[in-house]
Amino acid sequence: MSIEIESIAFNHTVGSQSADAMNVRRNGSQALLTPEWQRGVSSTAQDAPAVYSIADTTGHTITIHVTLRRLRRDMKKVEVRALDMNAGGGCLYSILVGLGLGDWIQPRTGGLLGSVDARRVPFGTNGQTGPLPFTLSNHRLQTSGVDTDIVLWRWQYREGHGAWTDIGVTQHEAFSVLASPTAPWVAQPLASADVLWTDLLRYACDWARGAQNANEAAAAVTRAVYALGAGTVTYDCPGGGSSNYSWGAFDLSAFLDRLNGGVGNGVYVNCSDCATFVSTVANALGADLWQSRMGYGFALNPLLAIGSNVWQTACGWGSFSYHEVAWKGACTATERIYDACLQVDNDSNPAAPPQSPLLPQDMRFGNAGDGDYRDKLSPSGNCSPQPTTRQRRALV
Amino acid sequence: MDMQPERAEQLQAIYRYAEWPPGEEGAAVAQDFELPVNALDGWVRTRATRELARDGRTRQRSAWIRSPGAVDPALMVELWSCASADDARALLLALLGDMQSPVPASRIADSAVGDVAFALGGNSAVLFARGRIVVRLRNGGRTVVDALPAARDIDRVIVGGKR
Repeated sequence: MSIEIESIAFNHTVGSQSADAMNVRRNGSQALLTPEWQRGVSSTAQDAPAVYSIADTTGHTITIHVTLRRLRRDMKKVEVRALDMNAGGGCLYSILVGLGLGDWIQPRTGGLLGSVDARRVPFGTNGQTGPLPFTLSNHRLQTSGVDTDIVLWRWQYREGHGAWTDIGVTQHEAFSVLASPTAPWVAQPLASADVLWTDLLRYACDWARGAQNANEAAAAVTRAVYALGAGTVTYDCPGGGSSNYSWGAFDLSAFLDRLNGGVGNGVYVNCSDCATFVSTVANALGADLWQSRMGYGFALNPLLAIGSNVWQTACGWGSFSYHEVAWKGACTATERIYDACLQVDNDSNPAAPPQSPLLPQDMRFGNAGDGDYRDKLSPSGNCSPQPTTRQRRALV
Repeated sequence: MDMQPERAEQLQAIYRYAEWPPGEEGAAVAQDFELPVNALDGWVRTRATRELARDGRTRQRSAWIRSPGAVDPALMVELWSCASADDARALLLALLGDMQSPVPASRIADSAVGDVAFALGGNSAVLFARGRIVVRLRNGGRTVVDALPAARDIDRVIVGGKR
């Protein structure tokens, strides 16, 4: 091997995200250095992440900046490229085809970021190139919707019109989100603790994989959060339904700890926690949701609370003093909600069996008698929207 | 979290806020008070954070387990240092109002813990104010334990009695 890759920068133009990756950090305490991939430093795909906004990159040529070093001083007229190792079905598919088992699995599509077009590389007197722009081709960013992928690039070089010679393989964790994030997230400055966290996107982009618009993404996140009730969280009956992750601000670090198998802030969640999970995660993908309450003091129809498989009014209480959901727009009766805290009975008589479970996703809140979310949740009492409680909790 | 005026009035009536004893400013510890790692008998601290909230209060959060690696049972402790005893009482009322349950928490008998304290059934969650300090303890594991002994441990640390 006569060439080495020194570094690869995905977010090479801080302040712009139409031709390159977005500003991101790993989590609340760890920033992400650029160039994201560095020789001798990056060993796993997670070490070198790249996040792209579909809305911002559509119609633009996407580039990365690569710095190379030659190991032979006499090298001239060198071209460099990177092949997409996931193209043609990927490595596993190739092996299975070779074993005669190709009919048993679907070949995977090419990598999310495609391949890196070949280009001529000039070396300076120090044997290095500066950061050189390389163009991505055959990427799936305009068709994939929300996605996450481990990109494997096989780097090669050739001199003149000679044969291509391998340099090595780099791996990168790539994410596509629908658009710039909305609050509490910010797109910049890069140093802000509120730019997107890749530790969250690992879950968010998996939960909403394939979503082509904000409604689909929010609905997918709602389903995924509710599904955490299978083992990760459950409704807070012992604590009276208190906010355990969202009091004052969203303790996202604790939530991630819980998702990763740690204790976090414990197993119990309430409606404010679920509303905050859904809206914050969906907004990271480009949705535009709020957390807002209804109340105060209303009877409940039987429901399936998160983590429970028993139809009952929450914890057998019979009523809620308030409830909170992820909500669109002005958070009034005419706007639509997402509720990952509970399933309602979707039949014509939600007060009695049999139940037809429905997880509220992009559902109109409605007025009493409309047959919308409000009627399915509550038969009586003050279940009015409280739009002055509308907020997007800050991250801690 | 700012509370709507009508909601605040509702909670003040439910919890008979006007009858709460005044807090002693002097009984509270300094703003930089930190809950020690050995504050709770029989519990091991596994996670601790400290933050200055946007409302100006300092909040310490910690998770406590019986032994390293065992996440159940678990106790979650939040401790706020407030600007004044009045501010602490306002926060305690807001925390009581944070519960979705329509069943009010019960007032714990005078002098058991804090200046004013409340608990849910079986002491599965305990909230109290002591001077400028507010503490919320609750269960974090599926195995639910009585949180009152831990509340008393913390209260003793706050008033500087035991440790």
